[in-house]
Amino acid sequence: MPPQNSQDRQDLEQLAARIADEQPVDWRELEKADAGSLGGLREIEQLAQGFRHLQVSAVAPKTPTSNRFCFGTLQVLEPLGSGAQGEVWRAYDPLLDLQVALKLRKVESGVLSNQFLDEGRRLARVRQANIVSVYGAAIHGGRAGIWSELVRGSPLSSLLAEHGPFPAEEVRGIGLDLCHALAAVHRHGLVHGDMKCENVMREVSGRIVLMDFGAAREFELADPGVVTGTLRYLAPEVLRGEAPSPASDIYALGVLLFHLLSGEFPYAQSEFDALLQAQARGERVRLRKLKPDAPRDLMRAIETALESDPARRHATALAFATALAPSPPRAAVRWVWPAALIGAALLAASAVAWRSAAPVWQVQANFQRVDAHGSTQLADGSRIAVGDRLALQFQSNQPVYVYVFDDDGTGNTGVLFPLNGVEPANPLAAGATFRLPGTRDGRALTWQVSSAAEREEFVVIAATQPQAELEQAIAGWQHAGTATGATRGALGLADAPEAAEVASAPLRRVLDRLERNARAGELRHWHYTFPHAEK
Amino acid sequence: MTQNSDHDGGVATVESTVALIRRIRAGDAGARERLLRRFLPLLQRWAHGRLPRHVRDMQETDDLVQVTLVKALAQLDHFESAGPGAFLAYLRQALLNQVRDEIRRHARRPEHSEMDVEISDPDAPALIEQIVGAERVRAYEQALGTLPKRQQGLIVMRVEFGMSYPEIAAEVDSTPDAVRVMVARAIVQLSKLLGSETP
Repeated sequence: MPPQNSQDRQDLEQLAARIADEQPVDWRELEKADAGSLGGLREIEQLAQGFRHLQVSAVAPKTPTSNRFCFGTLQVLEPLGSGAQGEVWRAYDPLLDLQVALKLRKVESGVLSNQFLDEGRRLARVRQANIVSVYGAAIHGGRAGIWSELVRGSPLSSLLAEHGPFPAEEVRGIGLDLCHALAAVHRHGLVHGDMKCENVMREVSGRIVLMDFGAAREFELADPGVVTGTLRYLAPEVLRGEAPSPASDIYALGVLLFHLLSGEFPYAQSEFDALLQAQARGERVRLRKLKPDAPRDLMRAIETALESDPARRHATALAFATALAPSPPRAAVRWVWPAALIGAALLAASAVAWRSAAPVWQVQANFQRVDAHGSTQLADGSRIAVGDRLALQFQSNQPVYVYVFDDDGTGNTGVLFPLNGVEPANPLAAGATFRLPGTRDGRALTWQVSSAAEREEFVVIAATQPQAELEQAIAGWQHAGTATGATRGALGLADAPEAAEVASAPLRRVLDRLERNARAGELRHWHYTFPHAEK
Repeated sequence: MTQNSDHDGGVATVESTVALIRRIRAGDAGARERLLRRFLPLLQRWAHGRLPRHVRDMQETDDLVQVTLVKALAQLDHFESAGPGAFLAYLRQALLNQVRDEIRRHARRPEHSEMDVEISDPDAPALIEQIVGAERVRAYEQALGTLPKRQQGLIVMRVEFGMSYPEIAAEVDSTPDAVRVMVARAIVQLSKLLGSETP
């Protein structure tokens, strides 16, 4: 057996701890470690998974048999807690052979069984490591129930009450996990609606789990005027009666992190009217007064989430995550915009005006993911996967020449629009809404993600004049696929305010060339970076 | 949905197994009852995964575990404690022996002679063997048996019984964080033994 230095030993112990904690292990990253020990650890991981499958419950000294009853095939064991709509029980699922958390609708809850089961339906759509997994939903004996994984641990509220405010770095870690959980929720067109310390569990293994989707809803269908959620976590616009949105979830997460870090709330008031007035007067307590020693970047990230104006908050949950991340390493390749452009309204809008834009030109571009059920607007930073089909919804009040490019970071740069034989062609007519790439022989096309790259960059250029030089420059580039609906490329979407940083060298040259061309006319461009979903 | 912990709060008040064993040896019948209540459900579920299908009838498994546990408690004087946590490993080994005896006994039952050969096969795989492979389970058992008793106990409690760190900490009179490190180290030790056999 080769001798081990202390770093190797630590690495192996961390790996062993991940196995013991039931965390996934990325074996590909561990090639350098001692092969013998790694082989043994792989064996143990397999065994641990086998035992987990049979998993015995922890020692349970109290299981009052008088409480036992059945819900369908589930053997209900003991009560765990109770909420407004339902009561939660520990139960055993003999088919899955594991213990589950069963939430049963309270008869007096005032919600219909179907409304109650909506929570299960919504939650079942979202699978993410920091979100509780739903196993099933049913009505038995006139009672509606949803069962999910049994999360063993403590709510953050209990930990806070027992141990006081959390250390800054722990707050940062929890924030990052919850940002990714929220991003997954929002990607499915949902809002959580009740993000608070009581609804986030920390498992014994340290895993952070977002629970309780009782207030969740499709944000496009949310009913304005109906205020749900927990008062101190509600964003000002929700308190005023607006429908909850991803932005109000981000606000609530800001409150949660503020609370974990300081033990206090951003507003001292706990009554509806008083809180509303305090928000209107901007009487927010500042974190730096409560925690002057906390890292400034962490405080800034939290304070931004707490802005009264939703437009001033982090644009998305992933943008919040980026702000929370501890000083990320800068990419090796950066493109710095010419100084003359820096002063322009680069940060204010996703569409960047290169020339002094006449106010009359209004142009909109939105990416969508298209599937059999319709299309979903892609939020900033959305992850996409191989096989996803994308389209660009485009509208302008002037005739416009549109060019769409992508680069997967591995040297593949391609033209996604305009395409020969595909309708529409440039210029796109004013006033109409187009879904690009368009149609061929009457059949609607989409761009299909087919690259296995880690991320892609996506650049959309709109011009009021034809761009002959540009078209000449890109004539030899690879153009999007000839098969119906398919092109190369894979995209996640990030409507980045710092859109000036284009990593792709060919796309940088395209933009640079346009910027230098005095005859280019009025131009706008959008720049997105799309991370691929993990496989 | 909101769940409240049913573990963290209870740990502090749980008597350690070592303390219970001491009381049982001193003739405390109540302590014996408490120990039975604590370990029966855990071992019953565990044994369920260790028995082949034809002896996995739930009632039969439960009886088997109960008998083993009662026998083990009756022979407590022969149990040499190798530190906290070792008792559970001891119980597990006693149960494993009992399970093997039971499988052999089943195979010899005359009423099984006319049944499907597979059903009465003494080598029919246990549930865990079906899941991860019999060879892997055998190698694991062999390697585990050569580890210090304390490390055996830690691995059994965490990996096989799925006990949480606070629960194990209560057993071995330590803190959850320290237990997590100890479990990881025990796993690394085990992995070296298993790794030397892996081609």
